Amino acid sequence: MEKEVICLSCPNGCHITVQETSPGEFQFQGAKCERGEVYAYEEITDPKRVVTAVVQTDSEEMPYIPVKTDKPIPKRYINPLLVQLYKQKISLPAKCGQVIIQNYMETGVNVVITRTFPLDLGK
Amino acid sequence: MNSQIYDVAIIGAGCCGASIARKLSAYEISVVLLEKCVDVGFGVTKANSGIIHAGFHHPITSLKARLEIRGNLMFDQLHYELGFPFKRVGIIVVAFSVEEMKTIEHLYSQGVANGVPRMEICGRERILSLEPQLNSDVVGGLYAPTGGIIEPYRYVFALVESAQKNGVEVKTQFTVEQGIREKDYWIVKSKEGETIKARYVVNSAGLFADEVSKSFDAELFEIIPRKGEEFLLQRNAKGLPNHVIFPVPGAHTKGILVIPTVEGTLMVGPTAIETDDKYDVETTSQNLETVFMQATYMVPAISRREIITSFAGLRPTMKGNDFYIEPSKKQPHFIQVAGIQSPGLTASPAIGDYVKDILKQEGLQLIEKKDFDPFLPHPIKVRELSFEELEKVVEKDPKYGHIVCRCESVSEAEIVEAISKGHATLDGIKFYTRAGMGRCQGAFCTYKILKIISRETGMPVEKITKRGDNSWIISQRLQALADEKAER
Amino acid sequence: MQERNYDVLVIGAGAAGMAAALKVAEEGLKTAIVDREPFLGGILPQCIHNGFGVHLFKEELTGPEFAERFIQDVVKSDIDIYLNTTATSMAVHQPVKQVNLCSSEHGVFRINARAIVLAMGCRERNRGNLGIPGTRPAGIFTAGLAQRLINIDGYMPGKRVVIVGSGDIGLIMARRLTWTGAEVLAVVEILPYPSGITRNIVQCLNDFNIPLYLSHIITKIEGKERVEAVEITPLENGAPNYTKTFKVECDTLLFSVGLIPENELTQSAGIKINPETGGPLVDTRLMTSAEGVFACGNVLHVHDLVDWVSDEAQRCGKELINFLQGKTEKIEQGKVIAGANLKYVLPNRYRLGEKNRFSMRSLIVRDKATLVVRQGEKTIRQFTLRHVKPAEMFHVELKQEDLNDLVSNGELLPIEFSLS
Repeated sequence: MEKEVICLSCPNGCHITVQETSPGEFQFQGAKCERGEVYAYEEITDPKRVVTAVVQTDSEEMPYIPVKTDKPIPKRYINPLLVQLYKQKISLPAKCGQVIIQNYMETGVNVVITRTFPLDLGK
Repeated sequence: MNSQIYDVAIIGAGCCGASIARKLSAYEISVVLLEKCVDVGFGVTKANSGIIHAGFHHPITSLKARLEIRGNLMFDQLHYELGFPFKRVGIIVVAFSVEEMKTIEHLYSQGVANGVPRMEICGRERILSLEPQLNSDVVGGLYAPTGGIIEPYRYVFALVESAQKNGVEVKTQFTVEQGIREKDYWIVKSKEGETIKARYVVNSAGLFADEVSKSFDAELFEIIPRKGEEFLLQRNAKGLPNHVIFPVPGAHTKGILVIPTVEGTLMVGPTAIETDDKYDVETTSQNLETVFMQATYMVPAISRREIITSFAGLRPTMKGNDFYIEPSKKQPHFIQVAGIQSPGLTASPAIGDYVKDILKQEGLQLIEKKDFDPFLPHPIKVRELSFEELEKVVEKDPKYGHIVCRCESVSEAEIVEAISKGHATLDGIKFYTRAGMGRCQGAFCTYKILKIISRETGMPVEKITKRGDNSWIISQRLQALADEKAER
Repeated sequence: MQERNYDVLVIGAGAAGMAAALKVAEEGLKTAIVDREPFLGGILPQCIHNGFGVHLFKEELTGPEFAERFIQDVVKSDIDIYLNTTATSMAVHQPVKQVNLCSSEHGVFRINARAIVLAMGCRERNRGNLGIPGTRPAGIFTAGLAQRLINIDGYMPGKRVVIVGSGDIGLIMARRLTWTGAEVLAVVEILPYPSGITRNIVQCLNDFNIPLYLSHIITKIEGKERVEAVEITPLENGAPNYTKTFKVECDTLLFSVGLIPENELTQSAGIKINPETGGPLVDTRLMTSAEGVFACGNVLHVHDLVDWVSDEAQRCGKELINFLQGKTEKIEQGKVIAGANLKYVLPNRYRLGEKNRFSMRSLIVRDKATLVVRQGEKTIRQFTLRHVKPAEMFHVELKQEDLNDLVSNGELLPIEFSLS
């Protein structure tokens, strides 16, 4: 199996060719530095992404509030997580950093709110 | 079925239909105005260049020249009564050779014969002093100070509003499918399944006048669409002239014009290309080239980098190139108003009068209404107010203080007003208020307008359209997505 | 009419406006900030994706989180906040500047201020600006409008989408739309390379197998009522090759084709505009042609990273303070010329006695490039740069000592930047 990974460790953006020589054993080609191999290894074996989305609220003024995973989550969990987020409805007020899903599917990743609403302008 | 029998049904709410309706609204008769689009003025009129011609382009032997001259003279009064924007900025025809100056002389004498007042043949110096933006190679030209500019859709909105105020009924999304003569009236059926009855029918259906005529079993003729592409440039664009600039005309067209619009933007166009598709309003890159080549030849400072949008419209032309306005020879009480291409907009007020006279000759009894009110209240436009005036207006209605469209300075109150007058599509609101017509083309106000429409009409956002039919804006809400995902 | 007096009025409460307002308010200047929207933060609250703040906060934040760092400080400060409020016009060529404002909430009023910060941000180029042929159906959005509709209002703009332009907003929207159940069928880029950063190409397109067509343009939009299809044509030697045109059926078209500083208010006040940036001409103090009127952020020139916006705005705030305190009321400034391969250098003035920071954009794509600063034949300073491209702004600083010996007959000599 041969795969190409574009390294995101630095703006160089090396195109690294990864070959699985035997199960679990990989050969890397095209990385200008060691970080590239580390990056490509993870991208091949267990790619992760930060997920951002909006979640429905009970407020007409702010019908949706933005959320994110506080750490990158393995790619295979993204779709089920999105489905859960679309179904979820939260009550306002909401605070930036407030956890709405704790340790999603035992991944150690939490989903947190990224915007405070309503905001007390106090003036 | 509605059992009322109207005295007159007018098919098509473009500038002609609207003018006729408004004229007839001054008499003790019942009138219904039928329009197939979601709003009035959304057909041919919408893409009109907005020129009020002076009347020197056509010989007086033609009906269109006679109506053009009369129509031009009627605009000051209409503007005074209805308040739509209108400016007599004057028209300049420019000549770049001795040969072209001969045409200028011909246009001048034609204009004099037609009765166009205050025209002037200009030499190079005079024409450049009138219009310093012109290419300095100009040899001379014709100056007609009585030419002017309007916004065609706002003119139609005002005519229809005035007609409604005086009792005319308007039915939009009424696509006439068939007319059947019964006893002494017509039964008019729509594609949408509605039916009305009327003693007289006026066919001012623009591009579709031929099909309407056929569906009433009246005369067979053909409307040939002639496409015109226009390009709109931003406010204060380079090269913005003081007058409407015409080239020396060709055989069938008046050529590519440079137009200072009533709202301070600059428009160039239109092309003139015959097509066989009545829905073909595509713009093309070749025509952009052609238009700008010709426009910049006359006014070199014009820059295509300042384009904010482009559009195309279709002129409903007929063989012979004259207007076809007369009672049908095949069917009783059926008046044809067809082939109204340029200068149809200029002629339209006169067409209203002319058709009224035809109806009278055909036996319609016309008694003047005692309580006819020709005036419309002038709507408040925030962009036209001084800061002091704005203060007073906002005190009365805070919605005037909420600027929804920043590019054209349109307030929430103006949008609410447009919706209350029945213009509840994005295009309807755009044409009525100018919201979304400026440099950002709606990027900053579309979401606000969607919400205002929804709030004012109770319509869910998914049902709101750009201009009716299938022109939806929002496919669904995210909530619906959740339900969809949940079902899976 | 109601009049209110301030030392400083900041127009626009996005990243730039908030950072500038905080800076001047810290100094004890009586400050007001106005914005058209009902919330603080400008465009940031709709940018729910992460990637903000890496330079400024050394961590990856989402747009709303980045905004909130400033919002919380603004709320705690003495800054007066006017939301839902539009500046309609201003008179700025006088010591006390007058700005006319209107609002459904605060009514119509005037603010008098000793100094003004312009921080109105930018707008998106649209289909009309490109003159793309075809019909004009519903379903054509700028990427930012689509982002606003989805992320704030929860409205989906369509189901089958083609995106024009590979700028970062367009790429981010490709992922966003995919994650909300739409299908993104193509991203079409006129240039031979993507305009957005590599990370977004990988995570927003490649992750979802969304094809990116480089050196391609949209040559026709079809659809009478709603968008039905677009025609995509490759560019070969700079010209479209119509024999290779293909059609993609879709219901929605998103444009992510660049940003334009929003300067209509600026222009109507008679402030000079720099045609290269679309923003006001400013000197080393970030002061416009109207004395006491400053500009920062995207209204001045379009930035790629909000971190640089905040940075510039804080600098702008400092300059404003110095100006009001009379420290820089009169300073000598020399000309800066954008030479070979540079679109612009901002500011296009330098001054002596301190370090000078310049922002600029390249006209070329290079893995490695040399930036030379010269006075006449003499090289003042040379920089080696990596990964320069038009889509990424870069910054350099000239030290105080770099700029010695630039005076001739009591005048500062012009310096020129060039890239190779």
